[in-house]
Amino acid sequence: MLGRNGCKEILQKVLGGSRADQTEALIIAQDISLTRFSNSAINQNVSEKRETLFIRVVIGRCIGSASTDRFDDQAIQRGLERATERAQLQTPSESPRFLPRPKPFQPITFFSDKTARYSPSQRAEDIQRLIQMASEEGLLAHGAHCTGTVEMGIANSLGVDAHCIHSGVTLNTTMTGQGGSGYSRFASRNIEGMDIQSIGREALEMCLANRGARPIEPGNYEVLLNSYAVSDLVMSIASIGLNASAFQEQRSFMCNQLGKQLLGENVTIWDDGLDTGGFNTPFDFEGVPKRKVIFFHDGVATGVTHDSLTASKAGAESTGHRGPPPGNKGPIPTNLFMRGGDSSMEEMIRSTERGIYIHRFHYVNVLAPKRAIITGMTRDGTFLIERGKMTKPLKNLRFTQSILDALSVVSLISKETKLVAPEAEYEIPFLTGSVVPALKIENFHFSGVSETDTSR
Amino acid sequence: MKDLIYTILDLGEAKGISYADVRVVEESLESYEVKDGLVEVAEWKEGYGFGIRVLHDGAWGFACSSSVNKIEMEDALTRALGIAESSGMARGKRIELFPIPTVQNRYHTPMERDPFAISPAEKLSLLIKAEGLMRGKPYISVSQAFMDIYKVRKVFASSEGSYIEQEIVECGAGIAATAAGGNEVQTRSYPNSFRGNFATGGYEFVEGLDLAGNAERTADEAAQLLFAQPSPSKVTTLILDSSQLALQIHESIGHPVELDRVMGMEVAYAGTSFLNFEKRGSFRCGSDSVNIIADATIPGGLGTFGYDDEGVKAQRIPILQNGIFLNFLASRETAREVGSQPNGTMRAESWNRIPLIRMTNINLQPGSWRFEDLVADTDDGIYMATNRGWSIDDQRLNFQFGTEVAWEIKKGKMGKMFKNPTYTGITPQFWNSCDGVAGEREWRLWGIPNCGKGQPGQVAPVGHGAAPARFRNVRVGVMG
Repeated sequence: MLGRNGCKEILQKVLGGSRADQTEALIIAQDISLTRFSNSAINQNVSEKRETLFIRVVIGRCIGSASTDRFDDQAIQRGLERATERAQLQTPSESPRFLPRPKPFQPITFFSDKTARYSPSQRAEDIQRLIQMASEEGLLAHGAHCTGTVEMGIANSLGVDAHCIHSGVTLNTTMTGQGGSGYSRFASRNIEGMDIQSIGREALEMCLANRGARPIEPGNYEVLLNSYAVSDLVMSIASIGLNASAFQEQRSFMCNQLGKQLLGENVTIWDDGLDTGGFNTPFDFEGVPKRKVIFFHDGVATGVTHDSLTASKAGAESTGHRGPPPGNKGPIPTNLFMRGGDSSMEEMIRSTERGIYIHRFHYVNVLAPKRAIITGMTRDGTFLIERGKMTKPLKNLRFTQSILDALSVVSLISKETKLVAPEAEYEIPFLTGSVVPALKIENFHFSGVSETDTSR
Repeated sequence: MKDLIYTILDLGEAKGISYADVRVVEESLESYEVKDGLVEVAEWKEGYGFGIRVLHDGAWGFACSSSVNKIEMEDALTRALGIAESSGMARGKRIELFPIPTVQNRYHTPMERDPFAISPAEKLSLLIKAEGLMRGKPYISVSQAFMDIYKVRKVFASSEGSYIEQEIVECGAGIAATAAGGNEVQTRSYPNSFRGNFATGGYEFVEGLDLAGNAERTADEAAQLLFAQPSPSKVTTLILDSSQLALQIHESIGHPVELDRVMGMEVAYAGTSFLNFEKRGSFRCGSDSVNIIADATIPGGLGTFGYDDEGVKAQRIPILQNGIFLNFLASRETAREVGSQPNGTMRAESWNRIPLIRMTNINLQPGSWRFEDLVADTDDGIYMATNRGWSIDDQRLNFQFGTEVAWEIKKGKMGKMFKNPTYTGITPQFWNSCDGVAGEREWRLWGIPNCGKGQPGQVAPVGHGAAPARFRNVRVGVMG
């Protein structure tokens, strides 16, 4: 890690060397380690140290950008030249393209020294415990355990000067054997709260209960969704419709719907990058403080997230949602929350005459964004519920469902919520997650059943 | 650099490491996007770093850094060794590598015009022209043009004595028009969705795409989709265009033949495979019309290279022959486990990732039909083109795809356009229902630059050759 002063020195070199009207420099430094295990043995074990400098320059109403992993004077100069050259090529925008001005951001706690220093042997010890638990029941353990830190320093020529370091841990495990499979996932800024026994037990019990799955006819069913499954649904609608880019380009299901009842009155969903219950962070990738944005209040559509660019088009203020460079995916919400209710999974099961319990989804993808129709498979725990009890494990099912319709008929919501983070980060870890409850939904459409072989 | 790498490998040997490899990777990327008349993205990116992989006492360790110097490399070697020792705390079978010949060689992508030598202004003008032809057309709310060019110079050196230098150049481009009207939004893309088509090669590939020549048709089709009927829901005969078929090959054949998936090494994330060792050589995964080859040597393929990131030479391997499953994609580690051969398919996204088994160019061999004859021979069916979405289960059996557009086929003729087409199936049943593949005239290589795999996630550029093909008794029109 470079530290505040180390970052500042490089950022000031960039700003000092630029001849553009406005200049922004961003450093992202990662020190991340990840241990993967499969078939009850560690099979991949990696450590990454990466520092990258991103430069944006504004000339008139044009923006160019460049990035480099090298921090020497020549590389900085080359980056500035490339960014400037690209800005000069552009047709000036009709709408202003300015970098954000500085705003104060809230000091929040997001760093744990113990998490940052967690060693390969400590991760291996955690994994050994999971393997042991699985082994005692004749099962195999698989998964990934990731710990580390991400540092962000950002400065621009208008006075933005922001720096933070955050730690994080994620651990997911799948246990398999005897024809069953079960799953558990944990995420936090702080490893102190990680309970290996509890993580292992969830996956193990699900696997043992899930043996001998049988197919069921596809169709419409009442469903009980664990938080893992709810997270997939909420993250999906966030990426396709809850951001201003989709809204401004008429791609979003929120278009012409603000102020209208789109979901059930018991559903409230928001984004809050400052909430310590999630993967909180004080500012976005252009140094704008994070603000809470409510998307649905008691089911009524109320807003979308903005970055500086979409905000300037809308005459609004950025909500602190610019994504990682180059930022062209739009201001995608990354810290989602769904309001908990007063129920529990046990009560949901007890109150169900006939329905399906879903532990998690797999490979969820969008079919029709304007209607929020998505498809995906169930995985690692699908059960038939009959007369208030989970009676039979089921083969994996394919669903094809409008999420807006599903969230309009939520009958019960668990009091307990859980932070669910993505399983594999392709860009920067420990920044994205959703804190969601379990749900009971009155009507959910399954369009197919898998012929999955569960003999492993 | 060579001296520094050998110093590090010698140091590894002195520390008693049984195997080590060092990769030093230098990357350049230019990315452009023109949207609604503005240059939305004009990005230049360079990356530089190294990764050291060690096999110590039968267990793996890997460490990397973006600071390329002797001190950092020595530190990374020490870290990698420590990590390998930790791996040993929960080691399964002792890992051994399939022996391969050592190689000292160089490889570079053949090309006519280095895309990095073309000025940014020229590249942007190509996009601006194409985007401008779509903008302002009736119902078009968003018009976009994309271009990405990428160059990687990488050195691979192993403690066994291999030293390989490669320079691989990739480029591609595409356009997309989004039409909006009422509560409907539809997008058409050319030549493919998700930023276009990509290949290894020079700028001549981008120029050959003729984005401008296809811009108006693309925009017109997007607008027509607003008024098209929804795709019918039924079981029918399906003809897929070659770009959608490329993704079908990718998801339902390419991933299932990755040996790490078969061996359970991806259980917790991407999943496993419906294929297993017993099925090799006998399992009918497709009809006689289905012949699939993994070919890392084909000119222009996005998965074409000289050597993989274990130093194994690029190869051409039969995967399905007359529908019978023959071979997995295998690494040195997995091949050793199952008594097979490594086939040059281990690639890492960059210096900061370990190599994984990745598809190369997984190509459906051309058949003997002409596309117009496939249509003429179909009494009642549907033709779908250009991928819009995909999903498949963790054993790669139950899949569902959506495409941008479809057309009815009635009595051997193409009819009305349908919007929101989808189809679903079970992998072996689907490929066994294939009764016709178009020939070389319509066979085309498609590049997918972002195949995701692994934890931490990494993307790989892969290719798929395909010609339009016909499938019988397919369920279409699944929409909730």
